[in-house]
Amino acid sequence: MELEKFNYDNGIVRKFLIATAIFGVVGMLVGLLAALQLVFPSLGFATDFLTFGRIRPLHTNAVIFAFVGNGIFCGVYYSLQRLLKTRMWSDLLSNINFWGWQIIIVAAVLTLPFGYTTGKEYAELEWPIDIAITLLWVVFGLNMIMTIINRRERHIYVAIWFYLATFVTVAILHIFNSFELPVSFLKSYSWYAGVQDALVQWWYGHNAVAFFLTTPYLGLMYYFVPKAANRPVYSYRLSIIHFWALIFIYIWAGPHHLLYTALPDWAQSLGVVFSIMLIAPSWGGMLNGLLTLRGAWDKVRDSAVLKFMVVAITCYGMSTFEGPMMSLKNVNAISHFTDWTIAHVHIGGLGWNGFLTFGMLYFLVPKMWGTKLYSTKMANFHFWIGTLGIVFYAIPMYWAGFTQSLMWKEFTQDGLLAYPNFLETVTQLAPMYAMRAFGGAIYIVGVIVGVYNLILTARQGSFIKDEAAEAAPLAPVYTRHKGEYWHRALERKPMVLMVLAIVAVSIGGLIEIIPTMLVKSNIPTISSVKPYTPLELEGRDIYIREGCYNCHSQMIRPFRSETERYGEYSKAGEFVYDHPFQWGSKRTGPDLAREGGSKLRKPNSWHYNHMYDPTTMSPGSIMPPYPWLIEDDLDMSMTADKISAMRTLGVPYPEGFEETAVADLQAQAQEITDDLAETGIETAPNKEIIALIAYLQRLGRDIETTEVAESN
Amino acid sequence: MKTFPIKRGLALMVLAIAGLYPGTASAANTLVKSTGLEDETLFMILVIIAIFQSLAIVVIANVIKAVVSKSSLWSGTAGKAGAAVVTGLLLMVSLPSQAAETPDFDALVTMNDTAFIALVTLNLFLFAAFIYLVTKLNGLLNMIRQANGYELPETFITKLNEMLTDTVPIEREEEVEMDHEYDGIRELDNNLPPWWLWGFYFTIVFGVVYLINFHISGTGDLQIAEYEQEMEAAELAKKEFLATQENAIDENNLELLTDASALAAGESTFKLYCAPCHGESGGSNPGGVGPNLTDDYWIHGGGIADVFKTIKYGVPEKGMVSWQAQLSPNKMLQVASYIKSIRGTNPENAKEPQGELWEEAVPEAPAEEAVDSAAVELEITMAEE
Repeated sequence: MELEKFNYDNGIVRKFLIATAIFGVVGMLVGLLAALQLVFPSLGFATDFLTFGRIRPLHTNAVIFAFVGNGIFCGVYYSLQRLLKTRMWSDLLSNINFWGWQIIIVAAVLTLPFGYTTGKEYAELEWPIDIAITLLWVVFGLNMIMTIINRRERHIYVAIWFYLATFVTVAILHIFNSFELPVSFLKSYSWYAGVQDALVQWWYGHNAVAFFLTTPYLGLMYYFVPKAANRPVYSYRLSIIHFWALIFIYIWAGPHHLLYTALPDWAQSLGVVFSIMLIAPSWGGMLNGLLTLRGAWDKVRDSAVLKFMVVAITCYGMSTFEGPMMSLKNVNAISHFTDWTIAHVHIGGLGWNGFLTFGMLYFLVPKMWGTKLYSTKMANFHFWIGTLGIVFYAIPMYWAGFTQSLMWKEFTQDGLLAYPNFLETVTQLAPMYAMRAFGGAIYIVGVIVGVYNLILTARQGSFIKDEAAEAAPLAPVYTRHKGEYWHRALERKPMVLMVLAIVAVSIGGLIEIIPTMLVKSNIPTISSVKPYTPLELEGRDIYIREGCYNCHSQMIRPFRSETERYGEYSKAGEFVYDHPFQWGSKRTGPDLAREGGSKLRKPNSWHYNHMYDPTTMSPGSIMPPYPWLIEDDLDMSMTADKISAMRTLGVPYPEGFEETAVADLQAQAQEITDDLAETGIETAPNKEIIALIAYLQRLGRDIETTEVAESN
Repeated sequence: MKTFPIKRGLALMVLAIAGLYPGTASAANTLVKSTGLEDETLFMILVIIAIFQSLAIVVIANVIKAVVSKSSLWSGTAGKAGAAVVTGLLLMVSLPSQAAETPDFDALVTMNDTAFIALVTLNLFLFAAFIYLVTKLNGLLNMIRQANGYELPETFITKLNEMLTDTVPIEREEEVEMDHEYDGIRELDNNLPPWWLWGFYFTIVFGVVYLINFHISGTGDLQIAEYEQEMEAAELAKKEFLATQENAIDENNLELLTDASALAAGESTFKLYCAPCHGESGGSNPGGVGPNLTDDYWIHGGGIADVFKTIKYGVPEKGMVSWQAQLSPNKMLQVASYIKSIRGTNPENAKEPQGELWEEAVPEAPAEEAVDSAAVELEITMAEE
C-alpha cells in the first residue's frame, strides 16, 4: 500500500496549551484569594463581586473548566491525531472549539462574580452559557468522531476509548443537570426541586469529577506516560477491564455526596456500595500507569515529565482510595461538611490534574518547538515546590476537618454541646487555614516558574505548526487475526464502542434517578410545607446570588450533635418547592435549614446588623460583610414572572397570584421594616436586606407551624 | 540524596501540627478510659516504646553503616548518601531521648493531649523508619550476595510477590507483547494482578452483603433508627450522670447568687454570648437588638426566676434564643444573677426602656441605693468568706 503524506495540526494544540497555562495561573490565583479570605476576611474588601461566595465558584469553574478543560483539549488534539495517523478532520471546527471555549470562560468571568448563577455547584453558569457549552461540546465531539472515522489506524487505542466515553457522558450529564426554566436572560430556576434536584446535581457533580477530571486524564496518561518513558503499557487486558468497569460503576456513586441527608436510604446505599466497588477500577488505571514505568525508573530521576506524572498517578491512587473510604457512612459522618473534603479534592486537583497537566506541557513544548527544555533545574524546582505545596495544602486541611468535626460532635457529661457556639469551631481553624494558603501559594510559585520555563523553551526553539507525517490508508477489507482477543473487534468499530459506552454510563443514572422522580413514597409530603411568599422567594434569589451555599448548608443530618445544635433533622418533604435545592456541601458557617425555627430564631434586627457587619453580632466571625444589601433596592420587575415560572415548575401558587405578588411582597416588607423601626433601625421596605431577612426567618418554620400555634 | 531534608522537614511539620491543636482530648481520653491506664502510665509506655524503637534504629543503622563502609559496591555518591541517611536517622533518634531527658517531667505528663499526640506520631514515624531501614538492609545484603555470584534464595516474600502480582519479568516481556503499536506505543498483555482482582471481587461481595444487610434482611439500622438509638443512649447516659450530681437547678428551686465569683463567672458568660445583642454593659444601645437589661422595665418579667426562664427557654417569637441546650443550669443561673446585679447601673448610651415597670416583692428603693446595697451585700458575703 502506498504511503500518504499529511500534516499534524500543532497550531490548535499550541492555542489550547497557552490557554491551559494562562487559566491555570489565573484560576489558582483566584483560589488563593478565596483561601486568604478565610484567614483575613477583610480581603473581600466589602465589595460584592469579591466576596467569598462569588469568588469560590469562580475558582472551581476556572480550574475545572478553564484550566483542566483546556488541558483536555490540548492533550486530546495532540494525541488523537497521532494515534489515528491523521490530521484533525476539520481545522475550522478545531478553531471554533478553541475560540468558543475561551468565550465561554470569559462569559463565566463576566457572570459569576456579578451574581449570575444557578446556585448548583460546578454547574453555576446560567442557561445561555449552558446552551453554548452544549453546542461547543458537540463541535468537539463531531470533530473527534469524524477524525476517528477518517483514521489510518485500524484499531483505536485505549486513550481514545476514554476520550469517547468522556465526550458522551459529559454531554449527558451536562444536558440533564442543566434542565432549567429561564425567567430572564440571565436568571433561571432548576427544573427539579429539593431531593430530586440534589440527586441530579450530585449525579452530575460527582461524574463531572469522573468524566471531566478523570477519564480524559486517564486517556492522556495512556498516551503521554508510555511516550515519555518509552516503555510498553503494562497490561492490555487490565486496560479493557478497568475501562469498562470504571465507566459503568462511576456513574452510580453520586449519592455518596448525600449520605445522611433526606435522600432515600436505598439511593444512599447504592452510592456507598458502588463507591467501594470503584476502588479496583480506579486502581487499575493507576497500576497500568505506574507499572508501565517498570524498567524505566532510572529515567524518572532525570525526566521532569515523568517525575510529574509519577506524582500525578500516585495522587490519583491516593484520592481514589480515599474517596470510597469517605463514602462509607461512618466515615462520611465525620468528613462531610468539613475541610476533609477540601483536602481530598485538592489531592486530586493539585496532584492528579495539576501535575499530569504540567508533565504533559513539559513533554509537548520541547516536542512542538523542536528543542530541549530550557532549564531542567527550574523544572525540578517546580516539581519539588509543587509537591511540597500539595503537602502543605492537604495536611492542614485534614487536620482542620478532623478538628472541626470532633468539636461539632463533642458533648459535655451533662448532655450539652461542648462547643455550642459554632464560631468557636471556626476560629479554632485559623492557623490551619493560614498554612493551607501558604501551601497553595508555593504551589502557584511553582506553576509560575514552570510557565516561565516553558516560555523560554518555546523562545529558543521554532514552532512546527504543521508536523509532516506519512502512513498508509486503511485497506478496504480487514481480515481478522487468528485467535485475537474479542475486544479487538470493538476497537475496529469505534462507533459501536461509543454506543456501548453510552449504555454503560446510562444504567446507573437511570436506576437511581427515575424512581426518585416517580415513586411518591421516596418524598413523603408534609402538609404544613407551603410555597415561599414573593418576598421570601426574592430573598432566596439573593441568597443564591450571593453564593451563601458555599459556606452554609441547609441539611440537618439525623445526628444528636446536629439536632441539638440546629433542631429537628431535615425531611425530604420540606424541600419540595426548592428550585434549586440549597443543601450545600461545606459548613464554614453553621447550617441554616432551621435559621428561622424556634431554636435558632433571632430578631430581624439581629439579621440586619449581622449582614451589615457580621462581627457586631458574632465577634470574631470570618463571614464577609454585605453592606450593599442594605443600600440596594430590591428589583421587583421580575417578581410576577418568577411566580409564574415557579407555577410552571409545579409550585402551587393560585392562578393569577402573580398579579398581586408585588403587593403581597410590599405588605410583608412593610411588616419587617416596621419591626426594624421599633428597634430603632430606619430602612425602607424596598431594600434587598428586607427580602433576605424574610427568607432567613422562613427557613425551617413550616414543620413547626402546628407546634408554634400550640405554644402560643 | 537531595530529597532527605525534605522528608525530615515533613516529619517535623507533622509534629509541629500535632502540637498546634490542644483540643483533641477525646482520643487520649478514650484510650485512658477504655484501658483503665493512668495518664502517667500511658505516657511512660509510649516513651519506653519510643526509646526501644530508637535503639533498634541505631543498631540497624550501624549495621548498614558497617556494611556500606566495607562493601566495594558502595563508593562515591552512594556511600555519601548512605552516610547521610544514617546521620539523619541518628539526629532523629536524638529527638525522643531529649524529650525523655527533659527535666520538667511532670509538666510534660500533665499536658497529656498534646504530648499524647506528639508521642504517638513520633512512635509511628520511628516504626516507619525502622521498617524502612530493615528493608534497605535486606536489599543491600541481596545486592552483595548477587555481586558475589550467589543465586538469590526463593524466600516466602518473593514467592508471595509472584503469586500476588503474576507479572512477566521485564527480561521476558516479549512473550506478552501485543502485535500492534500506536504512534510507537506498544502494549504488553500481562495478566490482571491477582491481588487487584481479588480486591475487586471482595468489594463486589462487600456491596452485595451491604445491600442485603440494610435493605433485604433488615439487620442493619438505617439512619433514622440509628439516630433514635443514639438519642436514647445519650438520654440514658445523661440521666445516669445527673443522678450522681446534686439536685439540678431549675426555675422552681433556684436562688439568686450573690457571691463575687459566681457573678464574675456570670459576667464572662454574658460577655461571650449575650453582649452581641444586649451590649457589653447590658444596657444594649439605641437601635440595639435586645432590650436594655439594666433598667427597671422588663418584657418577660424581672424576677430572678423570670430572667432564668427567659434565658433557658428563650422567646422564639421575639428572637430571644433558648440557651438550655448550650449552657448548663448553673451557668444560666450565674448569668441571670449577674443580670440582676447590673440593675440600675445606668450605662451610657443605653436603650430606651421596653416592657413593663417591674417591682420586686421587697419595697422598691431608689436606683442608686439599690446599687449601693448590692455592693454592700457583696462586701459582706466576701468578708464572710
